[in-house]
Amino acid sequence: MSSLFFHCLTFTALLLALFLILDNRHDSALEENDLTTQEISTDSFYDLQEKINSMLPILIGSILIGIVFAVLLQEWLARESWTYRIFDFIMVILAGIPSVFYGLICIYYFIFKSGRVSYLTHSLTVVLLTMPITIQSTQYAVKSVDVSIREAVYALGVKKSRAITQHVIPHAFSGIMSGVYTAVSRSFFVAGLILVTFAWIQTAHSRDPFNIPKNAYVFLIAALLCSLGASFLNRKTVPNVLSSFVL
Amino acid sequence: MEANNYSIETENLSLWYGDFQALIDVSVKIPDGKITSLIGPSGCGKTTLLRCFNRVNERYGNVTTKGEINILGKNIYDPDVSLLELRKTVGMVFQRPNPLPISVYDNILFGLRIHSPFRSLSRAASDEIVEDALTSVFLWDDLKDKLKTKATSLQLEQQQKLCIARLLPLKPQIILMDEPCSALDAKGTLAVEELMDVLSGSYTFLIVTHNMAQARRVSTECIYMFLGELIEHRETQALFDDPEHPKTADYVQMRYG
Repeated sequence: MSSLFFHCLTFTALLLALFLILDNRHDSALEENDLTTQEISTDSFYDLQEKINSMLPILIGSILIGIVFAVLLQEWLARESWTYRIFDFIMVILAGIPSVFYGLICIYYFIFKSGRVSYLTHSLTVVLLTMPITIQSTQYAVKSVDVSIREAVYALGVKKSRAITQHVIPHAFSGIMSGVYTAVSRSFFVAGLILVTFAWIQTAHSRDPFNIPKNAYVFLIAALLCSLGASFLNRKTVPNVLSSFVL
Repeated sequence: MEANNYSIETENLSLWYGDFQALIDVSVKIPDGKITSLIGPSGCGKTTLLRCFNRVNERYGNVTTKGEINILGKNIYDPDVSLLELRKTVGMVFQRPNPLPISVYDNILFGLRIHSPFRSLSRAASDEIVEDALTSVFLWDDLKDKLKTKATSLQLEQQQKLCIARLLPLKPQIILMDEPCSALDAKGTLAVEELMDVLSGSYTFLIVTHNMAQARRVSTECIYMFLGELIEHRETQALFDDPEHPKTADYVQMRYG
């Protein structure tokens, strides 16, 4: 009962936070005047590309920290503890939010608010985009390692840290990598989306929807390849991967 | 750790998984160098009791234990007891054969490499250890040409024997077996039982089994448990032929369970 109350309270708090963000966006970003080119951004395309490129260390860092955090959460924190439950619940919520939502946040901060927000804000949007999905998929991958392998190594006297680093993680590796591919795919897709949106806004007067920078294609193709990689690591067959992609 | 007439002694051992009490004041003495079987209906605490003896239970975070467990005369909950040394002394074989997904050769040496200094085992010594361990479990003739084969590709019976062989280089004094034959066919079961019989003089075996015929065939002493309590502990023949407690009689005469 207390657990249900806790879940309701957290969910309400998250919804309130979401509404506050939405309200804020309505006030500033989605005002009609903001859609004029001089208000959108003073950045050139080169500046935007630089900003996106500067996010690469943040992307790699958030993925690595996400993996380490997920392993610690799953293996060292007691499952019955409140700390575990709180983290687990937050990760389920954050990873469950569609990536298009994060995409919109990124577009907002990288294009509409660019120059008015710090590097930290940009970094946090990337962390929000990649870390929850990495943590959740790593948790699932570690959880799915056959219990008999753990029992075998523990019963032979292997220390917990060694059992996890040398036996659990190697067995969970394809699952972890699947999550990494998904996270990278998400961020590449959003990077492509930002470039496309920027290009469309900057050239709105030309009414040419195919006037897209080459880098956007690169990001979108990379996102597609990462997504396919994730599907293969999930042990789907080639026809399954292709059909899910086509659909 | 010094040996006495009893390899394992427990005194008022109680165990809880969260709020659920799985063991209630269990006091038992397991004789040295013999095979003792633990029988009882599902959920009576046999496996829980078995897992207490090498403290494997502790990896589940919500376990609380009270009472005393003495292994070879030493309380295993004393602060100076090394968990690694305990698990070296008390080996465990599980219900499902669980060889590691590495070669037969590496499986045998796995435990020893953990407990030995880095690169302290020479190639010749390793080869000898592997041969001895596989010979002890009657697998040498079958596997001497397949030492580099992945252990998970062996037959189930061979995998289970390999799991026993994997313990032997560590020179354990007690071997715990949690339904070791439940995944095996009749031929495999017989082979493992014969192996236990051969090894029983050198090691103390404690075996959990649902198969009463097996308990009767292999064990010298038998313990009957019911709902977390130890109901009766006697010589196997006496327990089956002339049970003292009505609950034991109901179970062994198949009026219950």
